[in-house]
Amino acid sequence: MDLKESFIKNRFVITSEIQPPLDEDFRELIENIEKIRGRLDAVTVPEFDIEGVVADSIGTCGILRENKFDPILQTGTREKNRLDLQSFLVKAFEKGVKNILAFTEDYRITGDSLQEIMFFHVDSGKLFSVVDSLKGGHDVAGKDLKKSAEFFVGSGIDSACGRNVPDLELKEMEEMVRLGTGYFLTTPVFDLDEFQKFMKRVEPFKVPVIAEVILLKSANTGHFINRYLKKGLVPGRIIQKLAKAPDKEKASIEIFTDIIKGLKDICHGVHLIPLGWEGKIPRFLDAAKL
Amino acid sequence: MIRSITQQKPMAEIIGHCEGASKVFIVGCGTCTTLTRTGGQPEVVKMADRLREANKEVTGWMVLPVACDELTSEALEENRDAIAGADTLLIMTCAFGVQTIAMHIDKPVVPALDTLFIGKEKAPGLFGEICVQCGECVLADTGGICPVAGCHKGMVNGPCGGTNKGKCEIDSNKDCVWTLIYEKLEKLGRLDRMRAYQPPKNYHVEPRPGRIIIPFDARSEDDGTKL
Repeated sequence: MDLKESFIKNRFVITSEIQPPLDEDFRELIENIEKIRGRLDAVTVPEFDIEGVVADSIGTCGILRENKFDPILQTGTREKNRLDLQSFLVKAFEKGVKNILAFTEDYRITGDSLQEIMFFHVDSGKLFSVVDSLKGGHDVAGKDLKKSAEFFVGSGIDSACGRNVPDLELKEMEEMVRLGTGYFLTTPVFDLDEFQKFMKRVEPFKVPVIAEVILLKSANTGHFINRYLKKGLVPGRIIQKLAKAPDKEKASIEIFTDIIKGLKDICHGVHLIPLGWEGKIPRFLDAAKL
Repeated sequence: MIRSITQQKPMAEIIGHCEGASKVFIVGCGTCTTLTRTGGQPEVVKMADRLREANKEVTGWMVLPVACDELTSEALEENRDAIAGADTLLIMTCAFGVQTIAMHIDKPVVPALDTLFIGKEKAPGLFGEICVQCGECVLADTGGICPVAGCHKGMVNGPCGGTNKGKCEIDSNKDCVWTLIYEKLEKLGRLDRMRAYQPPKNYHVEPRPGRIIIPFDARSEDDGTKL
């Protein structure tokens, strides 16, 4: 299981996000992903979740490596200046991390400790400048490092394309391609028709695109996403289906299966956001024949 | 005109800061806080009533024309007796005014307001932040619209993924500044500027606290005062 190799071999790539445990008890996490060993190409480890800060993401990547999983270290670059990013990436490389997923992190409007300062000194484009420095064997100030660190970098992008000024997002993607991104990861996909239009427009980049798919636990999850992530992202028909369903998990699996069925022909893979349903991923993968 | 935008602190906090002071003199400002309805005459009069309800004696009040102006010391002289009779001054100006008054009066000063940002009135009753004084102006590349002040994240290389139909992901009542910049550049025929790469910002152009000394030769009407 190696992410870069999976892309080279033109496989339909499957990745999933996991939440590093705050208490550093990794047993449940490893138990859950053991159930899907061989079916995932890589596992992403975020620095933040929607509620706040997660545990040591680099340490979690190290645990995943020890257990023979390919980790993707997700860094939103929030609350980090370039020096922080530099030491963060060097430490990650020492822990065996080969994949980075870079994007501009959300401005947090829900969860705990909202009074804490948030800053975005480094956008995802500038993160590449740090990655490039390390690849060249020097730090951001140009001083030589003992060894270089090279990563396979993915970029987070908005599949809704900036809405009323669609080519804004494409310009950012062009820049990411120029900087050498290995793949794109989209924002959550629910509307397949819109996503297909997006895919047609980005096809000329010849860079693999992975669609993010959220496992919706209930209608409330849909409302939450529409309220806090992006208004109108989860369509009303999906929320209604979940609200009316007596068996929420069954309805969620059906919604997931429909989305995956559509995505298989139009993009290069999917990235799962289990939102606490890590243990149930096998049922979703089985139903969608992944 | 630039304005210092303020909002009143919770009354419990104001009363808490006035603890131990039975006599209070209130100062408002005829400029920014009058405009924002946080420290003009009606607000000062209302505050006097509320202090009396909290068993404080109000020895007097005044609304300075421009609290941050150097003439403030002379204006305060007009109420010398009422100020002398007070244990504390409750200041309903922005932090510039509070500090200016504190320089001239040897009495405890209590700010009644929190200073939020430097902005301007964009429409009647609507105040917006215009400049955060970042020290590295990027307006040449952004159609004269500031992304550092106008974007919640201060993004200088295009929008984040949260722009939604021209609005911001944080607050759908706020415009996405990068959409405004895009539209302005399109109108100017300068969309190529969207590609202008802004290198990492220098956060130490003028380290805080800022202090600039104008070279002696550049002072057209130098009065010989040492800075």
